[in-house]
Amino acid sequence: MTLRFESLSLKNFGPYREIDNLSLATGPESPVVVIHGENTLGKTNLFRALRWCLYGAPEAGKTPAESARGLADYMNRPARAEGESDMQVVINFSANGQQYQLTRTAKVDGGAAPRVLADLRIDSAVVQQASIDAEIGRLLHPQISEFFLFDGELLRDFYDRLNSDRERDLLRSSIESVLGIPALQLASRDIDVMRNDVMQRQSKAVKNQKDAENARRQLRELKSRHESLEKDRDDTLRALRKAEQDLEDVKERIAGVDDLKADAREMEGLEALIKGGEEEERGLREDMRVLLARGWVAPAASKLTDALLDARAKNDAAQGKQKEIRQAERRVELLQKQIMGGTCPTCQQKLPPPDAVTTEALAAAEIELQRLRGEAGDGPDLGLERRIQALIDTRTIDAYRDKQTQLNKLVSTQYDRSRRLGTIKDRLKNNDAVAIRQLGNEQDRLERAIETYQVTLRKLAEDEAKVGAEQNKLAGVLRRLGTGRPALAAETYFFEYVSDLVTRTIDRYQERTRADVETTSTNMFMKLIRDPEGYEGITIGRDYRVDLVGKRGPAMKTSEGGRQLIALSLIGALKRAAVRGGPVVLDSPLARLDLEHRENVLNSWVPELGSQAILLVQSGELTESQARDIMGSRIGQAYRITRPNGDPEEAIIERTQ
Amino acid sequence: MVNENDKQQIGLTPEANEAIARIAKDYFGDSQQDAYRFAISYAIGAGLDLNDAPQGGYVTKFSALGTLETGTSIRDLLEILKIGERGRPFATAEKLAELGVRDIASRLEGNETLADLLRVGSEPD
Repeated sequence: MTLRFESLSLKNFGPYREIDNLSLATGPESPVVVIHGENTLGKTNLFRALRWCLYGAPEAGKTPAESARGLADYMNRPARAEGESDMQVVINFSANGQQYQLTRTAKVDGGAAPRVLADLRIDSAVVQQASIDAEIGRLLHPQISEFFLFDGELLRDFYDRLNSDRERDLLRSSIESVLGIPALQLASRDIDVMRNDVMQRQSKAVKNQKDAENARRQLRELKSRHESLEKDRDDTLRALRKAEQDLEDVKERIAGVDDLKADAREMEGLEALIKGGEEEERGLREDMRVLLARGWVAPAASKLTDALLDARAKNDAAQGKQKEIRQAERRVELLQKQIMGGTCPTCQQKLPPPDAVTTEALAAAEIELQRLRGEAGDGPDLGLERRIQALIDTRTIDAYRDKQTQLNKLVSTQYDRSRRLGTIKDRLKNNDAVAIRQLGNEQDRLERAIETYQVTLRKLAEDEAKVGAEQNKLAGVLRRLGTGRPALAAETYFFEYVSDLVTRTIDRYQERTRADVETTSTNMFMKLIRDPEGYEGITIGRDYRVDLVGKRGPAMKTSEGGRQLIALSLIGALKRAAVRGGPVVLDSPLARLDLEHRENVLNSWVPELGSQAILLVQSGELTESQARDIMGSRIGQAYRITRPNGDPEEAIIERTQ
Repeated sequence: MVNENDKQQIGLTPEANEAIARIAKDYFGDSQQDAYRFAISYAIGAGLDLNDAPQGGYVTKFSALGTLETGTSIRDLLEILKIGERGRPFATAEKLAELGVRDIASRLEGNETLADLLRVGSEPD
């Protein structure tokens, strides 16, 4: 393959009003074209212009018919506003020593879908309209276009998705497409039909009536089962294609409302949070109400505390008086006993006889006792203390304030949530949030349906293989039965042989390509990764499961960047298996990689992909000076996309090298 | 023990009656009895002067005994703190409730919260 892009011209495509002959010419020593452009400036539009010109569909995985509806969206709007209706992309390229000029023009005149015209000239000779797609397909087949027109967006989640059944099937079909295996499979089916036909004719010709009847019956059954399986497979395939088409439509509509969908999700979340907050607020208010109802005395707590202290002081004083009275009483009693004679109640010694001093002391003690009793009043009131204590509430105020703090915080949070919700609702005012949600649900439903259809298809393929094996067995039986028509036997044997040969060839091709892709992707990965000694490689199992194998075995975990490197390695290996040499166009392939890995990608991965590389990058992944530092003289052309008037619908491309 | 000289039915002036309806709705789950008891306690805590209460114009709201006072808490409170006319606790409670409701309403309108009001009479934090 010696295909090489030479130049590109655009008229009214995306933000580009007119790009005349943007040179993409590269030489063997400087095979890289770098086009720098910040996000939203128009890199992807340039990428899609290339794809549209080559295949009639700007986006990967779509047919021209599927793309027709959205094609008018690519028409430059200022041009359209000025009454222009032509959108055109021209690619000049060389291949196999010939010069090609491919022109695709869309007439956007307000109809349902633009009219699209293609023109291909090879060395100035005009190629018939009907042969253009076949001619391009012969050079760069659309089925494998994703490996040389590579959208960096595909890297996102590529590795994770690889290990779902659906994506394993994608990998399997990519590998099979690379080898043209679907065509071989169709041929194999045709051979089976022919073999069945000859087997039926042979069964009619066998001599042994009983065995012949038996063989015919078995053949009828097998044919019926085969037909039934084919019908099921066709129905399932139709349903699968329909679901895939519907899914594409839904995804396209979702892409248009992605931001709104995010808003709708956030709105849903906020509504749930606000509802939860309302319940929490009701709970808090109820707790506070109960606290106030039960602790209504709390505001008087400080007065009651004062009263308690007062009561305690009085009780302490009263108890002091009581003590003094008891002491005075004991003194009077002592003096009385002393006067009456007898023994001391304390030391039990005989008391001295009474004298005048003792009598005076008794009189004074009795007066003092009288005075103390007069002052003592009612004595301590411990009941009052208990009553006051019962009324003092020390818990409610703190508990209520805690709740109030929680409530204030919650109210503030709820206010923020409501304000955010209001903003989102304003944004969604003109969009039906329910409809957006329904789109998401529809996407889930279709993805589930596709999964189910694929499981069914796998099961049908297994059943078909079983029927095939039974047919082979029956062919052997018929051969043993002998026949009156040796030519039929030979024909049966021939088809049986060819059928077996094709099946084995397909198996061998599949296995060889799987092993090739495994080896190439491992080699690429080892060159890309920082510490290759820590890895054994990438394995692609016979069931097409992709695993990263480390020194301690498979299913090794890796980072986001590591997964991107695995994806790049796989895609690179598939591209190498699909078409050796040729150009590769990469839109934003370096996002999420650090500088070292970017260097590895640019220095080892890109050169391995083909003889010409066109990189569309933004400064976040590769600045102009980084590009120069890393690739140096390997850069053949360098451009920068700019927006001269700050108008998002107008971009130009200027040469920087 | 019921004192025949005391009020059996107690209430609020029409003005305070409107205020208590709002307070009860906002803070007491619409229970005006709870709000009324709280207002009494609040008036005591805040040291509001009974002489400032209207001497008449009260519209009956509750039976003092059995409805507002199911135990003895209000009477204990007034008796312990020696508030009002001895032997007429419910007449005193009515005036305190009137004063409390008016003061609470006025402070809540001034952007204070009930949590702030609970601190009446105590040292600030």
